[in-house]
Amino acid sequence: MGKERVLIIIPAYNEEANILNTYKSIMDYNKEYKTNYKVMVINDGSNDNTENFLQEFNVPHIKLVQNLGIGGAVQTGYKYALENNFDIAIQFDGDGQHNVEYIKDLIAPIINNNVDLTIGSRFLKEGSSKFKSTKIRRMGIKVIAFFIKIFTGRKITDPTSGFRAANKSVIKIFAEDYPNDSPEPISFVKIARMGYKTREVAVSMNERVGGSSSITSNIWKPMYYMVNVCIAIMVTSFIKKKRR
Amino acid sequence: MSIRLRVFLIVSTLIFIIGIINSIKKNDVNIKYSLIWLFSGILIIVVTLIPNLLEILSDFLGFELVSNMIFLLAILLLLVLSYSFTVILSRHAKRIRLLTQEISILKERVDKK
Repeated sequence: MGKERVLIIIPAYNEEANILNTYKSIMDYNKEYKTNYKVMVINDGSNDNTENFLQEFNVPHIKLVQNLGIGGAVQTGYKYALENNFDIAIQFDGDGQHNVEYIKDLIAPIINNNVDLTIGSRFLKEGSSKFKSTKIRRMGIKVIAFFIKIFTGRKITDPTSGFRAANKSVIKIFAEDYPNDSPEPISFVKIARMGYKTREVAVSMNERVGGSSSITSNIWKPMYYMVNVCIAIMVTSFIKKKRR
Repeated sequence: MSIRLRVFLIVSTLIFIIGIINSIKKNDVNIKYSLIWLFSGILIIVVTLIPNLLEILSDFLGFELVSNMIFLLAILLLLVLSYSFTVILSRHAKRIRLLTQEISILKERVDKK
């Protein structure tokens, strides 16, 4: 480990409360462990002070000229990673849910075991994570995991996790095509169907510090999310299997 | 069909067609997307001028009433049209997303220098 160029993609939509802390935690980690994780915050057309903070503290960032939604924002990061020839791209939330110390666990299988995509899971080891989300959400996650198991044959415990690491081949695929709504489970299915190696890594997540999650604002949104994900998983698995 | 009804149909369809041609001239609408509307306008005029045409077709397809056929065909046409709008809309959303991303990445690169 060490010579790989690692980019941390942080999508941020109205994250003025957390984004600087998140950035600082990565910089502190870099200093302490002599790592050289590069950061690229994607400011997804925030209308709070996110942009001012990013500029003031010289945080590397791309300001989307209009709001695209989570999928479009994250994909911008993958495009940037592809253009700048990064070896590994990490998806990392700007709201303080993810811990920088698990990044090394996420990238280890990619470097050592030829894995193409790793997913940070809260549920892989019993009691490994302090924060496991609400009961209803866990149920939704189980349903999605079940669908993925049926359509890809792969076991995944935390399919909606936005804490992931991708190698060069996956970066290229995501840069070209990335779903807009509920992108994590859908893009996982695509990668799995294409025959790439995936692996889950046990991580611990924190409860959100500020802001609000993108999928809990009202009753209909999670319903729409579930239906959208399940249909998309089925449709995505109709695409032809390809092997490298 | 009474003469009065025919005159009314032809005049209103002509106005419709003139309106479309006007917006093509003003560049308000793509010729590509306006063709379907122009064709339906012309079709209405043809059908109004030769009313037997509809009856023959309706008999041939087995409709009890000519109006039933007209309603069914019109609804089908509208369904196909609105689906094609969904396709066009999705295509444009994709393009706007791509443009937003490319411009934003470019801006970041320019600002850095």
